[in-house]
Amino acid sequence: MITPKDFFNLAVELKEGTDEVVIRTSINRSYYYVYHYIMMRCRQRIIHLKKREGIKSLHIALVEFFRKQRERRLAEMIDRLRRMRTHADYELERSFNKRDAEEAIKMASSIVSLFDNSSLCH
Amino acid sequence: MSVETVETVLAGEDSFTQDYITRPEQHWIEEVGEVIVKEVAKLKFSFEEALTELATISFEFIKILQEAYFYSVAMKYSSGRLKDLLNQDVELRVILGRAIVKISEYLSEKKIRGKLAAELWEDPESGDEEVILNVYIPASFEERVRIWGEIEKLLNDIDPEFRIVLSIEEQR
Repeated sequence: MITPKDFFNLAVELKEGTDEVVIRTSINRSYYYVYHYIMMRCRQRIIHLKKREGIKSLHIALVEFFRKQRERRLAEMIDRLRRMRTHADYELERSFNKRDAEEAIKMASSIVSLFDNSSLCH
Repeated sequence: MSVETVETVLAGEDSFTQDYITRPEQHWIEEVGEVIVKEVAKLKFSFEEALTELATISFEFIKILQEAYFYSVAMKYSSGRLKDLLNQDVELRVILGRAIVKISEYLSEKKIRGKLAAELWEDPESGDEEVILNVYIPASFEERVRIWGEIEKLLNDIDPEFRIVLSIEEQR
């Protein structure tokens, strides 16, 4: 079985790629590292929130979960990484470079660190 | 003023003065004095009432001015469809305007060079829309995360319902 960290390692590896499609995939993997890392620890609470509030997707529920906990910066940073991921996956006219991939990797790493330092889902 | 007091005062004056202030006149002066005192009290009350009304008008007026100011600020930093949304949503434009003013003050106070721009972002997967307030700062990632934490605290009072999403971006 793979772990969330495997997504992160792949993101780091892919950021060195010269093709834009590889850079885009690196950004995507950075987001899913955060998504799985937090879902592994808070899944039940996030699913419960999604059902209770009628939220459309688990990705939005994940951000909303931190808003409800008054963890504004964490919620906003996850939302920022989610937007980077959707830009990379859906906006073909936009161009991406290594710096974007590095920004996503740093963002993912920082989110996990802030989450670990919070008392949520531990 | 009593009759005795007037008499005492008049006794010290010369005969010329005594000729011109008689007892009926003195009585009349006392009556008029009372009327004047009552009228002044009424005027004072009316004046205080007027002041209270003015204060209420001023408060409402200042509130309207503030809203107009925040509206102009929010519009100045917004683009595209967000402007249409702001035209329809009074609460949102006040929140966004206040947030922009507060963040600008913070950046100026800390001597941080930064640019602000608000946009409406549509999630391509859910179709949901979010109002994003981008703050572009020429700083390292770590520094931007630290600033994010400070600005976050400023927004808690202005936007407790999370109607806007803050995003601290690298200025390139």
